Amino acid sequence: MQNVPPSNSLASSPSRWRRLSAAPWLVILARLLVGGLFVVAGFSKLLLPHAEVVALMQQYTVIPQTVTPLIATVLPWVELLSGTALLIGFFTTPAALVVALQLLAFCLLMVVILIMGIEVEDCGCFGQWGWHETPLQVLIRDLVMLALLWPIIWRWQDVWALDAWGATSTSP
Amino acid sequence: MKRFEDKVQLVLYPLALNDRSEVATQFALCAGEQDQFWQAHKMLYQHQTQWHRLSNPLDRLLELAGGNGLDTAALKQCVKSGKMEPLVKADQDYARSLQIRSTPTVFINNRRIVGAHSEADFVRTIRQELARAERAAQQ
Amino acid sequence: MAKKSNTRNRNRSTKQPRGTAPFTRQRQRLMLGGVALLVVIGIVVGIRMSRQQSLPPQLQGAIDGHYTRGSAAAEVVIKEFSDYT
Repeated sequence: MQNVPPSNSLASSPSRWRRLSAAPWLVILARLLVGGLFVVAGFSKLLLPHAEVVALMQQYTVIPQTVTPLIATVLPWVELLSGTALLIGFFTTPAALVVALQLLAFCLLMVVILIMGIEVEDCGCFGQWGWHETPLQVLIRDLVMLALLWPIIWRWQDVWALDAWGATSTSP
Repeated sequence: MKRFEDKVQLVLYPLALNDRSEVATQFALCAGEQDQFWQAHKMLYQHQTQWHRLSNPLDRLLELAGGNGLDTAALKQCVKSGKMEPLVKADQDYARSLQIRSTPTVFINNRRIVGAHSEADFVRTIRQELARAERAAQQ
Repeated sequence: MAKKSNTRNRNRSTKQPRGTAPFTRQRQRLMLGGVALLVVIGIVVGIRMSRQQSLPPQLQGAIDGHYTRGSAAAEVVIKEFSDYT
């Protein structure tokens, strides 16, 4: 648990800024949104037959075809488990970092797709529940989620989180 | 297929994923009423570039059908009447129940193959299934 | 006569020794988190297995009304779902 002592001095504005941007309600909201979305994304892909997930990924012709089966196997589990960890606040910072890495990879993929003008019929982000999003929509959504990870990573208190189990609470 | 003709059965489920392919599928099924399904099926793929981007491909398909000796008036009447729509819908529902989201999807017995694969991949899977069926028959 | 050491008595004390409580809480936290993740994994594995088991019967679905090629008594049935566009 990170406790940042309160301060009114301008000299301590970096820590005050961090406290403002990591308000508990914002952290909870961010965890629920981002964690929840990742749980849904992973779960929806895991409910699809493996061959269908491979086919979804093969749309992204920039990904080497030799690795798409491996990615199709591993990625949904990573999404589901990191999303769950974030949702319940278990190893919150590592989970947030794993989620951030995935989002950065997705953003990079979308940028490449957009630049190369590759047509992708179905993002495949939510496998079974096939919301049809364009690469630009996916990019915007992922950037918003990356922004939401900021208060989670810089939080100074665990609230409604497993990481706070049994920890003594201190008032801000 | 020819080399496995007596050991393998192919069942075709034309799966309409968009409005244009719905028209094409109904067109092929209507051609089947004239015992010309496989000719229409082949024609649709051979001339795909001529019709698959049209918002209403029926007229172009009828032009192509006329050139292939099909009764275009009967075809037009059949497609416009919508009598094949329930069959198309039933196949869409069936595909959904099998969690098919893209085409082509092929099931060789219970083994799912999604996307365009090489003939060698299909042949290998068919041989594996034939071997498995043989072993099961011997037991 | 030297007094006997009180070590043994101290060890038999019912008071919880200092420093283990946070460790116990940490263990509880790890266990709870691990259990939560395992439950999620179990749910997914269970659903996937039941879907895989239901696939063969579903694939026995009606062939009537569909065009076929090859032998009706074939050991291998290929069901092709394809779109004309």
